[in-house]
Amino acid sequence: MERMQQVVGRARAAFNSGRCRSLEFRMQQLKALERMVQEKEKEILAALKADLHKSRFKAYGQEILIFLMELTLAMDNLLSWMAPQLVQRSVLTMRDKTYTCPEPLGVVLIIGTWNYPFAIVMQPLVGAIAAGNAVVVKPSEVSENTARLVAEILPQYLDPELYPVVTGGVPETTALLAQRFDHILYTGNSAVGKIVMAAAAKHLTPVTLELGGKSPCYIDKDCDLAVACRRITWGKYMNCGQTCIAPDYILCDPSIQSKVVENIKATLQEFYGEDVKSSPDYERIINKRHFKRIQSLLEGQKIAHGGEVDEASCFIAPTILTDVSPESKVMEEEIFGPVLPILTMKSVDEAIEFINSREKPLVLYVFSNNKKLIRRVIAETSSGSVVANDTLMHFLLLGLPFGGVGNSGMGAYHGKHSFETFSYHRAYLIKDLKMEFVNNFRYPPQTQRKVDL
Amino acid sequence: NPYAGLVSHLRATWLSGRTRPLEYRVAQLEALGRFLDEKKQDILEATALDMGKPPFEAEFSEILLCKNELHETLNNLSHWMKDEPVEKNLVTKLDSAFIRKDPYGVVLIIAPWNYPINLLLEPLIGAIAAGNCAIIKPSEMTKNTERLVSEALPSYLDKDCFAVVTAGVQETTRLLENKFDYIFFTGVPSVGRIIMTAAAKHLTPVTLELGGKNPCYVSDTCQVQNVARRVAWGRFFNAGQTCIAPDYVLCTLEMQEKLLPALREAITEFYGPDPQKSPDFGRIVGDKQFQRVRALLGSGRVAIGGQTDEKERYIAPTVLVDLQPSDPIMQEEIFGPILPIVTVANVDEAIEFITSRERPLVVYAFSSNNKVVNQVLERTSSGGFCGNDTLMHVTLTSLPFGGIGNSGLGRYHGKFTFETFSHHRGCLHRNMGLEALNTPRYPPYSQQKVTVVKAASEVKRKAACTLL
Repeated sequence: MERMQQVVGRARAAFNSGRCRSLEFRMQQLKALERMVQEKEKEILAALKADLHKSRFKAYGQEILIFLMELTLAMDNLLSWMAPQLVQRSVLTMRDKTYTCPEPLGVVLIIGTWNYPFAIVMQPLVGAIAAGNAVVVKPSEVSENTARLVAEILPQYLDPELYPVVTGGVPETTALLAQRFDHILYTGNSAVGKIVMAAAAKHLTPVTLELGGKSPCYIDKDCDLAVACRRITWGKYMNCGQTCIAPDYILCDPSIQSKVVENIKATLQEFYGEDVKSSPDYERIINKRHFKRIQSLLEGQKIAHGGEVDEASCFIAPTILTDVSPESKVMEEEIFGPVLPILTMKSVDEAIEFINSREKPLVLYVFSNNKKLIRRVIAETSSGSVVANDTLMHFLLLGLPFGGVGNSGMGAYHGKHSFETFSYHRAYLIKDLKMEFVNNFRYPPQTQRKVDL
Repeated sequence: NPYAGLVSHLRATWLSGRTRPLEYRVAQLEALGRFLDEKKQDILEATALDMGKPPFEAEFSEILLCKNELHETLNNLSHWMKDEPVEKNLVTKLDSAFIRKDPYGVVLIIAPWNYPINLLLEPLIGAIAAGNCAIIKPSEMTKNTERLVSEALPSYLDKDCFAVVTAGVQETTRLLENKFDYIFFTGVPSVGRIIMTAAAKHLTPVTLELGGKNPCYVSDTCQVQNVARRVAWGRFFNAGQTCIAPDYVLCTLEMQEKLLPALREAITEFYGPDPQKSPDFGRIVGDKQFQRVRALLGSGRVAIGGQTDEKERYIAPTVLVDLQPSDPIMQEEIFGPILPIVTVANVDEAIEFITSRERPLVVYAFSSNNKVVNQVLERTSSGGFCGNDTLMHVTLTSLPFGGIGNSGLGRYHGKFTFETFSHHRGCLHRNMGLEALNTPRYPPYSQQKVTVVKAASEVKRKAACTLL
């Protein structure tokens, strides 16, 4: 507890010194992060391989590329993002200066998670630094190699007082959450999200919670099934299903269920070859606990494809389940694994009703050639984001706010949205001390004439 | 759970999609406008009974400001509701990418007692505009206004979508057990914490409009009479029961000596020689508040005013001097017609005083010298900043209104209220064709594929322009 107090106290003192506020300083830190990724690329990829069995290419594509995109966007636009904005004046304030200006919040906390352990702390860090804050970074202890690496290299490139890295498990995180922050961005599950928000409430700290849930994927009869299934297979089995925005389960008409299975099977063959276990591009489950959790979801299910497991290497084969019942265990929690249940729905109405009867998901997927149907699904449902005719791709468009709603989270980030999340817009009205007669109407004593004015 | 039925009824209506069309929202907002017009007299009477609110103050703060928000919203709603297109990268060039403003669902608005109509209806305007259903809870402290709202308002609005709930502390606690999709609370920080803790159980996002002690720095170079009038107006409006009132003044001893007679003159100009007889000066809302504020008169020394009348809950416009930072009046938000003056040696000491305390809702600075105003502006942090006047920044629907740190989280007014009650949903509608373009992203991977993916997705640095 004392250590946390010291770390946060130092960060706050450093923030109060004012040195992280200037454009030059912020740009300097962002450039340093760019250098870090370029110089330490090998080490970062090695850590990701050790933690999640990610191939070089996968790791680069999933975690480093997006980080570089964020850095470039921030560095190119920071000057304009920081600029004050004039606002419209009223008759009473015609001669005055009225504007808003983004200000840093102070000391912010970023708590990462283990599935994209590097990107999930680094991406928000870009926005937090760009917005002029001090940042305490807490990578997930579950992906221990990446956590260790981040703790080692970040202080080599960034101001270590302003941007300390804190490692540790539940006790350390709890101690950290007892401290006062000016914003907390947490990525993880809803249960812990509630704990984070309750801790934040003690200090009236605003939070951004990037949580999860079961992201539904509706496949309409009227669509190019081969293409749809390829895009779904890519999104589902990337990182062995351990992606918050993976399509969690499929909803489709019973008449196309077997075709969906066939197409996914064919695509899996194309992606990972005959023997998935020996493909360098197929990852592993993070640890035994999650392995056992996912394995138990297969009990009593109709396995249309896959199902092979190897506990020693935390391997679970890409698996498809058919005719799944809404009440089964696999439909209770976010799967976060390479198991794809298919539930049959007789119509889009039924699908919409099914989706709306459950918690709001992080993302909703819908595949159809029918634009009207897509528009309808969007209009009649609620989700963090929605993607039609693909999976995951909204993540790469930094102009889109990335976040959940309801049980899947609150707040958003990516691109300028990160900058906005970690700033507040102070409102300014600057008047003249002269021209006092203009104010006379508002002062007592009041007469009806004044009121009418 | 006594409110479960109500909440689920509202949620069912929301799920039916009734509140989505622009026409529906406009109709409800126009009905709200009719409520303000037709019930204007009743509102003035109720607020006068509840806290002796002078008719001008009530008309200005409760009716006019609300109607401004309403008109601003009605004028712009169709524009605000439009999907916002976003910049696309090479890979998504042919796709449709935009931000959709979705309603949250069923929202809860809890209003305080000091501007019981304004602080109830202004958030409601945004909630309706954004397509939500709402439960609104007026303050139980202002009984007449609470009765007016609960009896009259429902007949103007769609009863399946909007409900007024009257509740004290116990019932509000039960109300908070329900799951809401957004909670908007205006009140004190200690209750703000309770609200946010309750919201955390359901992962409900919140806006908390809280308060604090708003400092008012008066520099040595200024037109003292103008300053005195503007500060006195801001302090004594609504008998000091305003979250953005200047809570205390910081100035040099020299300035204090000039300010006191100027304040005396302003108070007399506004309220006459006996403010208790003035129809333009309000009263404290309730006995408990009256006791609390009266006790604060014990700090320092009374330089102006100081008279009280328990029967009327009247506290005279008062100025206190000879204060220590440790005095009771400097420990809590005053929320009454008392203005303490704390003397400092210079602007640096004033700024240090301000920054050593919780960040307030607003910082005020008065000076004829722009540099001084700018210094205070740049070296402090607060929800809002107003130079050379008080209160006026909230009359602009174009400025976001909210706190920071202990004074709150989130913001509203004008378009910001609409945004507060909307979920910004990222939408990407891709082409089903051109699948060949996606090949580089699929396994099996190779260096070549990575290069292609990089080239197609990355954000290129803009060429540095040496002329700029």
